[in-house]
Amino acid sequence: MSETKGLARVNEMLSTDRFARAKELRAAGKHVFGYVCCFAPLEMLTALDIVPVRLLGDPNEPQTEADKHVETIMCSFIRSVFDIDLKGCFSFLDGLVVPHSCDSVCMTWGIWPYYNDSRVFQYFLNVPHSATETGEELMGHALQDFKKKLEQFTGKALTEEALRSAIVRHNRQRALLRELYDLRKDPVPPITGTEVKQVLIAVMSLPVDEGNALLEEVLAEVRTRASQKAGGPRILVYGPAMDNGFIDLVESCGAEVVIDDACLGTRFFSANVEEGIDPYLALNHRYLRDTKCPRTYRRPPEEELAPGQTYNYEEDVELRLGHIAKYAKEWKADGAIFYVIRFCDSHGFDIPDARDSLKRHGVPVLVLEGDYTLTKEQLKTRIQAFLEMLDQ
Amino acid sequence: MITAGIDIGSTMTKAVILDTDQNAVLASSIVETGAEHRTLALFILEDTAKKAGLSCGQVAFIVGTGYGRLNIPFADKQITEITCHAKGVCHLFPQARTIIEVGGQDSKAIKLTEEGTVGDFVMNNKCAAGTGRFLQCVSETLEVSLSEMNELALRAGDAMPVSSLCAIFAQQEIISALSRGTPVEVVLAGMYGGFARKILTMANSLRIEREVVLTGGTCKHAALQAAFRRELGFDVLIPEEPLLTGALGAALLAGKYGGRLSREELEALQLRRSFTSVEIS
Repeated sequence: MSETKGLARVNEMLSTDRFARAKELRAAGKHVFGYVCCFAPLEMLTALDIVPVRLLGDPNEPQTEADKHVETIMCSFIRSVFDIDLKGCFSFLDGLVVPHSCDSVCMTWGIWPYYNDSRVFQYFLNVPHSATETGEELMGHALQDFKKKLEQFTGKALTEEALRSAIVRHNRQRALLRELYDLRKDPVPPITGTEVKQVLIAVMSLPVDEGNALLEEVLAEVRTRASQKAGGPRILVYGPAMDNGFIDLVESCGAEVVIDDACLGTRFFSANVEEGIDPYLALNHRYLRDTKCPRTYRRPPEEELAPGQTYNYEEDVELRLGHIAKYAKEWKADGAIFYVIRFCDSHGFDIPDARDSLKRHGVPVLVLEGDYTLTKEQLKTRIQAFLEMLDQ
Repeated sequence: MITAGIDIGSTMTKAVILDTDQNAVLASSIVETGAEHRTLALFILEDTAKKAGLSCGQVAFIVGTGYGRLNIPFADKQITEITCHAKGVCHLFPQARTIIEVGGQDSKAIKLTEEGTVGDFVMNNKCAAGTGRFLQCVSETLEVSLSEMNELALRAGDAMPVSSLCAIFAQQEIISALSRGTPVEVVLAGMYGGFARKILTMANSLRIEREVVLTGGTCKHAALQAAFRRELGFDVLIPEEPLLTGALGAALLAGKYGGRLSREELEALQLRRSFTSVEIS
């Protein structure tokens, strides 16, 4: 295990091999599973002493292997994850969990095990796409099936006690991440958006308790940091994974990214798993109802409508996207930048409503579209012009 | 104070020298961009200064803009073309609320506030459709010069609808129309109409408000101006030289930022600035 601590450890992990610790644990006989997206119930893995690590892409690696098997109109993020897996980057894993986060992930899963059959455990978690009563029922079955397959694989029972303990430890991680994010509400945030993204990636590469210990070190360090110089306009970013250097790019243009609604961001930790109720129902609510990602369809509950009453558009938008304006207000964002990966229909459908909702709340919005591999120069002019607009 | 704005666009490079005390443009120049931005930036500054009866050293503050803005080693500040066009256009037309700028390799729409600042903007981000590059492609395919294309389209009584504005697909569409015997002027009139519609679709996401000002070199085509008027259903305003609004805005903003500095600070800037040793990186 590494001797370095806090942000130095984060830097070390990201500049060398962020999976070094996971590989060490795997070599010592532990199960290490990779997962994509925010919809894998990590608590169930932790409860069985399986180490979950988040899989991300590599924007600097040309997608030569994946492009032999998938068309370029596919999401360039998941293509990148698939590509570097085919090149052996995740060969240390003995399991892969792919939730049905979006259609691109689902259809990539459809071919994934054929092109890489090296893992003993490969599992597709059928997370429903609507936060409705029927969706909840299906989610219940999906979680039970996942439990059964994990038990078969490990030869151990997934006990309620272990699951409850895992829920507490993962909730602890969420609380620590919220503390870190709260520090960014300061007029001069003690930590940049780029650093926060790095911390998130590091934490997602470690077992939960080690991740929590690292987060405590980072928090202690950041709290005592000498005051940073005042940054430029405060920006909210909205989009998918964004491990591709987008946040770095926005900050290199002179902005201070203070908050996000992103997959590699608040969506990972904003909602807790309720403690004290049936743990599977709690996981069900947390992953289906409470994780606000554009991949999930949601509307005000039907049963609350009076006969003949129809949905009110504003209420609908508030339910689906109101949290973004709330973030902007709480973190005092001067503007919002949306980055959509081309062909991402999940985010694409939400953008007009999200943009209009923020504008109604007086937050200017810049919408950018591009590939997972950033076309930096083209984006720079737009970002700089937007920052000039906020600063005029 | 004497200021300069230099706008290195993808196709054309523009410069304006301004006397901010008199609020008067002393001189301006327009040259083709080419490959050597740094040499060109110096050349155009010297040339424009000479026209104004000045030397480079007499310019107090210089702002660079356009996609080549980082390649002007002696500029005191870089500002994006969006902010500069807005400033330049508002100076010429205080009543303007929407700017449509069609450049050599991109097009943009800018919404202006009542105070004359940028309220919102949108840029084409996918391809050459709706840019000057598209017209150049058509010109090369038809072997008709850009100015002839403009005249032919203006003469047409009828316009053939051109559905695709992808620079490649539209050429195929144009070639098949010509091979079917559609007169070239009818094809070209349709192309300008489709071109204007393409840009207006993008601009409409900002909700276009009057007055609308057209800028950028491509907007010098009278046939494109006519197409914009026809599609919008009202008249548009066009600067005397649509290529210069970015450089003008840059020179005006140079006045704003230079004006914040003391005489000593401005002198220090001039001492640091080197016009002779231009390094090519």
